[in-house]
Amino acid sequence: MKKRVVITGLGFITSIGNSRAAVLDSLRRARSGIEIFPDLPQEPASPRVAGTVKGFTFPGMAFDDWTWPAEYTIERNDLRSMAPHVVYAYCAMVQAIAQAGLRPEQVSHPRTGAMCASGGSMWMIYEHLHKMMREGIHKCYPLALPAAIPGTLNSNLAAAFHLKGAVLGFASACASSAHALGYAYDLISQDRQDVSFVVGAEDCTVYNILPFAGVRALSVVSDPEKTPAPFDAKRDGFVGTGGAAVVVLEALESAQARGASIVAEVLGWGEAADGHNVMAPEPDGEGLARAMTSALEQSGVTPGEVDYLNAHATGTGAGDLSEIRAIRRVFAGGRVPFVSSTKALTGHGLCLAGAMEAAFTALALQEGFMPVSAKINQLDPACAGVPVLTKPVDAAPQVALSNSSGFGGANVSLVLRKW
Amino acid sequence: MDTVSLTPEQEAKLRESFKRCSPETVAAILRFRNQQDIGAVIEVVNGVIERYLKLAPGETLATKSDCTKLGEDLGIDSLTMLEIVMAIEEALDFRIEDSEARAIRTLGDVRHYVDDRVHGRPVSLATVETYERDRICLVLPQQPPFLFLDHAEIRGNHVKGAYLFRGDESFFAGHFRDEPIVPASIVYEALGQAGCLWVLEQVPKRLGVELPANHVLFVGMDEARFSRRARPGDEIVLELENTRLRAPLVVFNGRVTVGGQLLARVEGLTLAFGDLHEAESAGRTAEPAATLEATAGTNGHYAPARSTLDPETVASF
Repeated sequence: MKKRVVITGLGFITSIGNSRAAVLDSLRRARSGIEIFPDLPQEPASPRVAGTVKGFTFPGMAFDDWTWPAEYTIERNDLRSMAPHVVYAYCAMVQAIAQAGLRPEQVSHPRTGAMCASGGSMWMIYEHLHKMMREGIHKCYPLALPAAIPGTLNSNLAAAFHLKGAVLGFASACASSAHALGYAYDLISQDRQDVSFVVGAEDCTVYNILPFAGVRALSVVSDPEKTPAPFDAKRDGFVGTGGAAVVVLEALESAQARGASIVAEVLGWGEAADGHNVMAPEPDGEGLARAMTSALEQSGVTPGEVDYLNAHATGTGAGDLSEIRAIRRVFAGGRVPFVSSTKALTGHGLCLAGAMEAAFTALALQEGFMPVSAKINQLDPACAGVPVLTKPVDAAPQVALSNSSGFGGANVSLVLRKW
Repeated sequence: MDTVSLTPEQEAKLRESFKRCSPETVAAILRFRNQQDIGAVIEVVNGVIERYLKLAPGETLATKSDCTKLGEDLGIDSLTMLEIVMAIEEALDFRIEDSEARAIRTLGDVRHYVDDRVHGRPVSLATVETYERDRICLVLPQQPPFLFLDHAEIRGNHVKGAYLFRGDESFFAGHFRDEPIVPASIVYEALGQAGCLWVLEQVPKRLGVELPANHVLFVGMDEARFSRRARPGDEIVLELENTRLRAPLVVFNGRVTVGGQLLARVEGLTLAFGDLHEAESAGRTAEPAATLEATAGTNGHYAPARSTLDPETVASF
């Protein structure tokens, strides 16, 4: 007998807001978090904007110089092994724990863990290795590894919050934190954990964003109000972002026993790989379609019941179309849900994206609205047959999907229901 | 050590690296690096360590004793210790080996180590082992009420201990009538007990032998002088330095102070260790483990005494 799983807390450090209230306001008003990012080379034909994270500064590797919003206290002993995205995640965790109403002994409990996803810190890796190779092994910062590697997120959160349950990291690139949420759902529905913090986080630096310019995946539009534009006919690529999102998954009976307020229910999830290419999505979206179909079957939901779909769509030509085809395939012959990509507002958070967008979707269900797909000047005609939300629609969704896809054709679809 | 002044770039880099230290500390680093001012290093070391501590306003390491433990007393964990080691390396421009860093436990260790390094002396780094009364009871054969060590520490060839005369020790009733004075014999007994602790803790490690607690015997003293009297309420501080270790004999020089004032000193305090039953059964008696009452005077001067056990004879065991 599977346990029912609900969301009891959310935490946000994102380009569109550092609190539930700010994020909700940005989603409702379609307020973009994209701005000129001075760290990027400000040259013609070069990406110049990013979904910047406000209220934090990381002027250099000396973590004693880092700053974050005053309402958070991070001890130096915790800080010294953190990367910027772990600082974001720490703050988002504090929010999520507060919203969920979990006491310290419930956070630090064998039945509470964290499913985490980040790409590690490319910045930290670069700087620490550079110093070691240039100045010698004994000049290597002692905490270079825990501060840098993929796994820095789960390692640091486990230590800082004294987590005692299942704590691990996922590495399926841009599907990572969606995978993390799916496996957290499994752990709880199989009664192996009561609470799991699903954490997605990424640095916001040239080191983790600019390499995507190598495959010409980044938008070079310099007007932050016009890019990225998923589903727009003239979209020219994605815009990077960083930050952290935390989704607290909890067994329904645990949440009810605590009297916790419930944000939304997680009904199930599905996953499938394209079996196609290391980077390019399978053009027909066959893999993503299987992930969505599997998710609906696992959740006991028919395609016609889905009201809203938060798309992975990042604003690249190939990716957006592949997803549109996948949606058509899944919902063929029936009602097709409203679709939007909130990445138009936030930018693409890579390993952060899945958890962040699941959190947005949960907020939309709880608050009874559907975020629009912003910055569409002219909808790509190839989207015909799919109701992309270019304008607000006055309807409260009951069931929603959140899609994520990553390198290697990793696809994840999450199913959430209004509580 | 650098004998050349820093380039402006090097100086700027040092200022950046140590910007969270006090201006005085940065100035001390630059004095050491630019003028080879060896006298600045202790200030550098204190200042660098202080940067990693949460000190109360006005609190400073300079006034803290050498015995201050980096871990227990200052809350420095192993990772912070690594940060400190790397910072001191950068400040003083020398490399601290891992084996040396691991042996640094107290402020005294840091200060002695750095002092050795900047003076070009071989590093005589020795860890400090500390003993509270409970642990002393587990090591020594002497037990209350005849144990005159409250706490002790062993650093290399040195042992330092202390004992507070509570006033309720039985001998005060008769030593003397209406005027309690610590018997000189008890003061030397306490020194002997500190020496016994060193023997039981160091000899097995250094010589690779097993040494039961009752296998340490007092042999004798070459010189002993008593300078002042101690009374109930006085805490005597006992210091011994091992000057010779060759089985079965250990020789110490030492002194006893109260509140920094010299109380007594001793040279050639000699203990024997090992299975000495043979010697005793042959009629050559030795005092059990440093008890001195048979040869000690009562007060004031202590008569130089020779043990009945000839060290040469013992050496042939």
